[in-house]
Amino acid sequence: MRTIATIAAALVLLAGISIVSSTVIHSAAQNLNNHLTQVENSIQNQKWEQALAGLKVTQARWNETKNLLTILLDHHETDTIEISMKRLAEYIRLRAAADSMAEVTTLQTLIQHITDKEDLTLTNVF
Amino acid sequence: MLITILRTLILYTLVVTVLRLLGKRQIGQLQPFELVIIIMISELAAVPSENTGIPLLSGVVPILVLLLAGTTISYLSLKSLTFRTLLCGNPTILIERGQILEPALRRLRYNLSDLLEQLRVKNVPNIADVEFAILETNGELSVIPKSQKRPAIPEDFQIATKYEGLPITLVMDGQLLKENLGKARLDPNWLQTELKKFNVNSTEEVLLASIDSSGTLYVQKKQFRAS
Repeated sequence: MRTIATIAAALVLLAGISIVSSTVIHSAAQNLNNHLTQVENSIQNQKWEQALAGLKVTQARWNETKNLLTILLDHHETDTIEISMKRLAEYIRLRAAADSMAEVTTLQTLIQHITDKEDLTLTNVF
Repeated sequence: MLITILRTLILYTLVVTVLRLLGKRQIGQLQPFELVIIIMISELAAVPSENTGIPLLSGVVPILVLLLAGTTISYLSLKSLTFRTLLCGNPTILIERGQILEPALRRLRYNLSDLLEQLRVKNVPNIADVEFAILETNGELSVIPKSQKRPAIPEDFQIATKYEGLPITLVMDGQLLKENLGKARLDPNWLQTELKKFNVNSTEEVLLASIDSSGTLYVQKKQFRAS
């Protein structure tokens, strides 16, 4: 009886950890991508100050969730996102439209990729 | 480097805890599914130790999953004979009434050289002395010698023997084991008196002291005492 209770408790714990980590990752990614969409629109409309301000907000959100994401994801992924954000900030500062657009799209893809990797799909399992 | 050291210590502690929870078996007596768990746990612990880019959870969670799987399978094996047979198989008789069963050897791909080697390891060098040899599910070979070839026991000579229980350790590495003293229904004063017969003044000087069921005390003094 005690063994069954232990097994059940462990199953619940593992399921809980899985659900919580998936929720955290999806929520953080959604939040960041929403901000990046606004940045993208600002860049398209050549509103550089607005774009930079939007990116600063995005970076602040990223810094809030980075530590938690580092526990759940490969550090390489979070490092790549960090580097991409720095690059985007420079492109926006230099008002390089093409590079900024390319970089913001790359950043959105990187963030989307971390949620795609966590989804329970056949591709991810195999 | 400090990060690697810390991660290794954390994972080492986790693996030791998990192996402790999985239960007591010697490596050579593990069932196949238990051996798989041990191998996988060691691999899962090694990767995050050396690669600090991987989150620690990537090692911890799979190890916990394996613990859960191992415990579940052990529990099901305990409760269901069918499941146990499915998972571990059945022991196979290789030698029956002194005759080698060739079909069994062929089925198990167990060659004669391996069989003779295992018989020698079991101190039965002459195959003619074997009545039964059984290959257990954990890969060990159990050998039952012929009645004329087995070691003699007191019953063969109709000799009555006294009961022999477990020896009880009273002192280990200078520490008096009070619980064991209680189990043996002895008191510390008696022990002190007995130790004096061995020129020992205190239990701290004793490396090991144990008493058997006939009341005979075994004492060995420490060679090197901590100053």
